[in-house]
Amino acid sequence: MSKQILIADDAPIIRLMLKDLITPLGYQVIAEASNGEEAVEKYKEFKPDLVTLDIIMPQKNGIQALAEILAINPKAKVIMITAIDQKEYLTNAIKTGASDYIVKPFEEERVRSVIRKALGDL
Amino acid sequence: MEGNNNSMSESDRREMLSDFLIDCEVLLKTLNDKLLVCEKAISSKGTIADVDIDAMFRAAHSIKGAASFIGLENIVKLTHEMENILQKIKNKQILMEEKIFNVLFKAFDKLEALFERLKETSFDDGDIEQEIVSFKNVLAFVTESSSNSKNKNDKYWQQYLVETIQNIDDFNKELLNYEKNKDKIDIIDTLFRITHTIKGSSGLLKVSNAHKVAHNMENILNYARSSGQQLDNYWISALFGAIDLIKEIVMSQNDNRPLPDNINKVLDNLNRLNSIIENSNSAIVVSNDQVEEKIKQLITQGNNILKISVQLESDLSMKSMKALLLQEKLARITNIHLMLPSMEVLEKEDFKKDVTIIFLIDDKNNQTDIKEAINIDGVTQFNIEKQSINNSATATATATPTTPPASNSNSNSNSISNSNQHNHLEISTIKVDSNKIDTLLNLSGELVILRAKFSQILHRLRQEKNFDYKNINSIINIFDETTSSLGKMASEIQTSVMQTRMIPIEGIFNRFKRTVRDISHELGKNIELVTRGEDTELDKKIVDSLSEPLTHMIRNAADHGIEDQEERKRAGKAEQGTIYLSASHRGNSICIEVADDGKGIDHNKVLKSAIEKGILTEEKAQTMSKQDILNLIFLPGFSTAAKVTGISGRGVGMDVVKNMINSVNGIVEINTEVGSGTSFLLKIPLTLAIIQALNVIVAKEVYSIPIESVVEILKVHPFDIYSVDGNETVKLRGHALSLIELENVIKVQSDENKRMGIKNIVVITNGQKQVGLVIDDLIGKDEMVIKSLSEHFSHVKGITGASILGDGRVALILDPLAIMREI
Repeated sequence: MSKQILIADDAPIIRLMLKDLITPLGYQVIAEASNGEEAVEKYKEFKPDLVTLDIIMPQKNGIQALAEILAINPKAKVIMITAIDQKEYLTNAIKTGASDYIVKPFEEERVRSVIRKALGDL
Repeated sequence: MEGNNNSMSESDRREMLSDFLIDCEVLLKTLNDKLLVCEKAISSKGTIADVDIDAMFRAAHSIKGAASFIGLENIVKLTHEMENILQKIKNKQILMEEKIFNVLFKAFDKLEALFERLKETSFDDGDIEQEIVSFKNVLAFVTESSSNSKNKNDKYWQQYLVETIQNIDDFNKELLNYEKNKDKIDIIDTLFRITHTIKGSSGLLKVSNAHKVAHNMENILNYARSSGQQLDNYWISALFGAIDLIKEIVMSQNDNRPLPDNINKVLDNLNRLNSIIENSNSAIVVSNDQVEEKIKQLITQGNNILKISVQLESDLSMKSMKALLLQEKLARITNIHLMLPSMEVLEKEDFKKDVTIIFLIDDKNNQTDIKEAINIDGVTQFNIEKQSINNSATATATATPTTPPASNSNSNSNSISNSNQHNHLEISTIKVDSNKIDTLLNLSGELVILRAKFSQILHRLRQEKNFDYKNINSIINIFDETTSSLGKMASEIQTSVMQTRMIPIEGIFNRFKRTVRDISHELGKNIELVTRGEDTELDKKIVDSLSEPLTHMIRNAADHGIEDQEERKRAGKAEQGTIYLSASHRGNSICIEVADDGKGIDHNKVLKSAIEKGILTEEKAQTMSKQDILNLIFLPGFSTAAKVTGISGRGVGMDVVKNMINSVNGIVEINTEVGSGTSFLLKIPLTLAIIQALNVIVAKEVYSIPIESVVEILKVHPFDIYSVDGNETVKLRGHALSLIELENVIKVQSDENKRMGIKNIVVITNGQKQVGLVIDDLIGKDEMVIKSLSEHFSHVKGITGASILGDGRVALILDPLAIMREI
């Protein structure tokens, strides 16, 4: 069974782009979330192999969501999606326990590499 | 063909042509004969005399000159090519080999054909294109192929050799300097400039390997210069290895021996280093020193340590975030003792370059987790090394092709520097301060004036027909005056010429800084070399011959003298050991001292060892003074070294040092104090060319005794001479002094009338003991110019050379050290 991924981002266009990048790698995007709250809910529901988590999201931001997901599963693999000017948030996320991060705007090759390495496939 | 000869009438031309043909007949014959000589030499692999080449060259040149006068263009072109190639052979730029000979011979055939045609038609027309082309081809090929075999006598080569060796020495000096003062960027500039010079001249002389290495070094230095990055010890060692390699390459080329085996290894290493630079353009170099130090510290504290180096991609944005990520991930699975560069440094600069981050972490046997943690996007390479006490890192994880473990480079550079010690280099050319030459020039000018004075005196004498007493007297006065100024001038010239042979000892002193650095690295000791009196000048030949014994002594001091750091701490000494190397003038000799602040030599241990080795009997040992015992270490095969190290203690001991010093008429003295250090004092005459000597007469012959060995002169009454074990002995101030007759040593014909009455005795010493040499008569002290004896006399013991006395007689110069060995 192919590995399953949850995509959490408030911007539909980003979710679409990520999905288009991830699917050809042979992974299954099992669910999408548009805010932090939803992301945590979907994580509980699907127990995916990997989560991509936007840092700035409404209701519950990415860092809170990250902490909650790690509380559920300390070994959860969570990739943060960040803009280049969000160093402080990213620092927090890394200290909280993120597996890696992807910088927007996306460099496609890098996105593929981050995800595959995080899943131990590269 | 005759286009530019319109002014010449046809009859004139005919007349000139016939003259030309007659002249050329001889020249062509010369060419033909000499070419045949060459052919014979080539086929029998013999040598071709320079005069033959020269004769051909001149013949071709003459034909060319005459032909151009008449406007015989083809002949001019052809002989021009021949002349050209012959000149190159003459100048030893190319060798007269078969290929060249064939071309020359074909050209000669063509030339003869042209002359035949000229006789018939009075024009030299014919197709010479083919010959011209083959000349060009053969030249292009030959210059390239013969460039590999260097002619030692080539004037450029000598110049290159002297310059390059000097540059290598300078480079070593500056690099050592840099190692201590890494913040001084201007040293990098200097190093770069030196390397650039070496590269340039090596390129010119087609020493392509040296050129290649220098080019690589230049890259490293240029990178350090432009990026402002300090080079750590790893890179410095690589540079040391490289400069050693250049020296090896140049010397092996000079000695016509094959290149060292390890050349490819070192070149590979350099290339790899260079590729790091070239790939990254400006990689961040992590200071290895800091890492190594921390590793040592952690290991001695009993930690199991892994060293992880992670290289980040150069075009990765927000590198500090990746570094943070790595740090966090590793912190989650183990302890991090050190991270370099630190987060603070990484945050400050957001690099547009490669970064290699080094972590020192506890080894918790969880390498799989570690690999997983650091295998993230943006990491191009990573390397995990287990660290052990002896620091020989055992790579256990994914190898990175571009960062070789540091221990590799060390062994590389060591193996080269070791092999270096065997090829003792001697360059027969010498650099002279132009001031010294100026002085000589002035003196020779005055010599001309003096000569004029003498001819004036002669002139006056000739005019003196009446033999007037007063006039004669005045001439004698002038003559006397002039003679004494000639004497003064002669000694001034002598001093100045001697001065030109004098070079500062600085050159070899600087080399030792490098030696000490290498030894301290090898032994893991902290040793500093302090030099004093570097500008002391002495004869070049002596400087050359000092390099080897001094190397031995410095190695001994570093290995046996200086204790390791713990021992020094326990003894309450500074952790850093010091070796002092100083030179100073004392009268007509120079004193060189090699001293260390190490543990000193325990004379009791020396004594014990000597008895164990059967060098001494116990009874004899009882009677020996402390100094006598210490002198035992100069005996062959004597070594107190408890263990044989890679540096000394392999039987190449102080006896070798002593012999080498003795061979330049020097003596060695030793002073030591247990616990505080040892000092060796070498006393060496300033020059080998002129000595101060005491002239004596033995069996009607004059002998010179070098004054350094003379202690005093005695007159002894026969009643005061005792016989001890068949040896004649006198008592001198309470000590027994054995007497020796010269005839027993150098087998001179003994005097018929055996000396009966009071004996004259010259007391001579070798620094350790004294003997009395019995002589017939004393002449006095004088400066003697040493003429070396021919090889036939090399087996004659006790004589080092000969000299000519003022009255034309020959005086043999005695070798007191050899004489004392004989008895």
